[in-house]
Amino acid sequence: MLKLLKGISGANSALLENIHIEDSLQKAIDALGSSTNVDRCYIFTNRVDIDGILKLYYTHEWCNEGVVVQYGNPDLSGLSYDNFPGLYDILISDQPLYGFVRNLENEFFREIMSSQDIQSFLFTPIYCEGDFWGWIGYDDCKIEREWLQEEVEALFSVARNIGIRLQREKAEEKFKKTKEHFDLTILGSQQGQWNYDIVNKKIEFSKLYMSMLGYEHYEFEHNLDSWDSRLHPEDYDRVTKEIKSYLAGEIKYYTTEYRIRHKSGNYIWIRDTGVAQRDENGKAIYMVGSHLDISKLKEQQKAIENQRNEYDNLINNLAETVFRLNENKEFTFLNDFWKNISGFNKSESLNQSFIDYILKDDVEFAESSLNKINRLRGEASIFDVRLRQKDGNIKWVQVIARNTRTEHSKSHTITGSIIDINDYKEAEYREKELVELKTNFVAMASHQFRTPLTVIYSNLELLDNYTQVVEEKLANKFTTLAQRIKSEVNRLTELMNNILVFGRYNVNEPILNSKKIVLSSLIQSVINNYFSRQADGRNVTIKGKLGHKEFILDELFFTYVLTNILSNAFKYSNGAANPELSIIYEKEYAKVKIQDFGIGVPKDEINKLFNSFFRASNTSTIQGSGLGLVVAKQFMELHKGKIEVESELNKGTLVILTLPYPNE
Amino acid sequence: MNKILLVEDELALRETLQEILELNNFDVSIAGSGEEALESIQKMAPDLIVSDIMMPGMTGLDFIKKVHQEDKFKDIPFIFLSALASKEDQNNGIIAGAKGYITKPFKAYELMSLIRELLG
Repeated sequence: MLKLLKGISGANSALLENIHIEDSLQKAIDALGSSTNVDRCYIFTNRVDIDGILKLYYTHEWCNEGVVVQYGNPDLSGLSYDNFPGLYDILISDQPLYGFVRNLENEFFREIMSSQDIQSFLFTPIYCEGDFWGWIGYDDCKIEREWLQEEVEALFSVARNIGIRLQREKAEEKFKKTKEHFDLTILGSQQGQWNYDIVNKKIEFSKLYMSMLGYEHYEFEHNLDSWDSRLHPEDYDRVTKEIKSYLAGEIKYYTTEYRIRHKSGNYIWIRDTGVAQRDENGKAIYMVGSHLDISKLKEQQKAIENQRNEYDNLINNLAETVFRLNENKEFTFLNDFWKNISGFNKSESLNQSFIDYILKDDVEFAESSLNKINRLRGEASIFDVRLRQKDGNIKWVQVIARNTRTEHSKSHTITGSIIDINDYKEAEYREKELVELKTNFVAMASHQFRTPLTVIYSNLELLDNYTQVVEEKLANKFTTLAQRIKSEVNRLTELMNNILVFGRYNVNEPILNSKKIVLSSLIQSVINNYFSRQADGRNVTIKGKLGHKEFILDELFFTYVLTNILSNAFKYSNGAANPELSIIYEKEYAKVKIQDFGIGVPKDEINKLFNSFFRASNTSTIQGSGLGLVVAKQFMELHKGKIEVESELNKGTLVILTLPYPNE
Repeated sequence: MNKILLVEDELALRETLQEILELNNFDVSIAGSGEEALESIQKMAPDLIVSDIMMPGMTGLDFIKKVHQEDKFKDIPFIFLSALASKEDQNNGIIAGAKGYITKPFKAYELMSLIRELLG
């Protein structure tokens, strides 16, 4: 028992030693282990794991000679109290637990203990600030030691002392942290202090205050002159007025910002805050305050402001309106140019619906163009609409809008720009009007030709009828002359038709008035309308099936091509068999083939057929303008197709029109 | 002999066509306008009408509507002769009720074969 008491005293003094807590715990365990003459003395420390479960960790150990060291055995750390039923319940009630292993009722517990050859044990709980911190264990492996009541109580009290030591450790730790935090705050805030004795007109500046201005503590006299002589002249009046007002009780708080001269001659920005102590009459008698160097803050503010100004300048000097819409399509941002484009001030239009500014006729289109944006995945929707200006005028604008998903919400907003395209649209409109005027003029003019041509031609036909009643020689002459006039009328008619089509073509170049048309239907109607009443009774023979495929065609242009080729086929094959037409659908193109069995084209002249006003050498007796094929070729090219001619003299000519399929 | 009413504002063409039709053995009445034609149609009850479209006053399209409104004339076949040569104009003529549409300038045999076709 004396040995035990010595050990306990050794343990207690280890705990009082001013050494690291871990070292003093180890020392205490060593003292207790050697004095109790057990085989092993150790500490289990409680720790709550991340799942919130209280677990045991084998943290300190003393071993008798010849006993296997368990410290570091991973099986002894991280165990849950669930593994040792009853252990937690006893220890948590701040009671020691001791006895023989063979008497343990819990089988699992017993097995663990006996697997380490432990025969008897003593556990004493350690409490720190009322929390169950851990426990000390004493194991005997060679004998079944019977712990005496006094021994247990003595050891139990050591455990209490450990708890107290731990408590001190914790408090120290806390104090240290608070102090560190305090020091850091003071240091970090860089506050210089000043004390102003108003009655005696004495002022004192702290060391930090002085160093903020670049001075040692003693370098200038601590008086009011030293302060206000260093104030920035631009801030002087304002600041002194503020202090006076505060001291007079006119304002409740004194906190202000000003520039003060640094030793280097530069000015630094200071935030000055002060509190006055007042006598029973409310008269300020004493004032303390702190200085904070906010130059960096001011610099940052200025930089941010500059950046913002730069951004604002950029946005507002754009020659287009920049806008943002919320989910209800209301303006949440507009730049200055909005006024130029709409006549409205920004403030008038913010929170107003974008749609309200659109001309009624264009509202549906504008809405669908905006709604489309969601499906464009970041691509912009670009559309032209008419804007209603403040003065009631209408302006054409182009809107370029895309989706922006804001960082902090899932809602979709729309950002974009509005460009003034009024001049362009007006020019486009005038151009269109001019084109229409030209087209109409050409059409009108050619219509005016038609009736006189009819009269001339019909009268020549009448003349033919009367040749029977005149003298034969004269009749022949009549017929020849009439024929000559007729052929010139035909030529005029053809020229007029060419001009009509050509006129539209030239003024509209290169715009095709295209739509989807079933090629075979168009061919059939051209044949029916223009080639079913030939004077010689011939017809166009259709070879094979024409099909029903659709093509992108300009009806007028393609009709022109067909009539031109078919009338050539009749014209240059007088007395021969019917011209034949077929359509061949190839992989990439459809081919319309028109074959006649007429006079053909001399081989070396085929290439020249597409030159303006060229006529083959064997056509002198057949009238023609020399323009038909030229125009036909250009029209086929406008359709991204082509025209080819194969011919054999006196056998016939094959014209192949190639057309691409429409892009699906 | 089939009776044909010819409506054409242009005198030269009207007289020329009249002569051609008569040479082809038709009984021809002439009118210089749609209004005039509406009067003569009551007297003669033609078997076929050949009419211009672009005329001062009533156009050919208005004229055909007026004629076809009357029950006793609703089956008289119409042929339009017009300087309006586009497909659209031709369609308009057919939709208005014409059986034939010939664009100027035309050849006599074209008109004659169409008339004979329509009169059976």
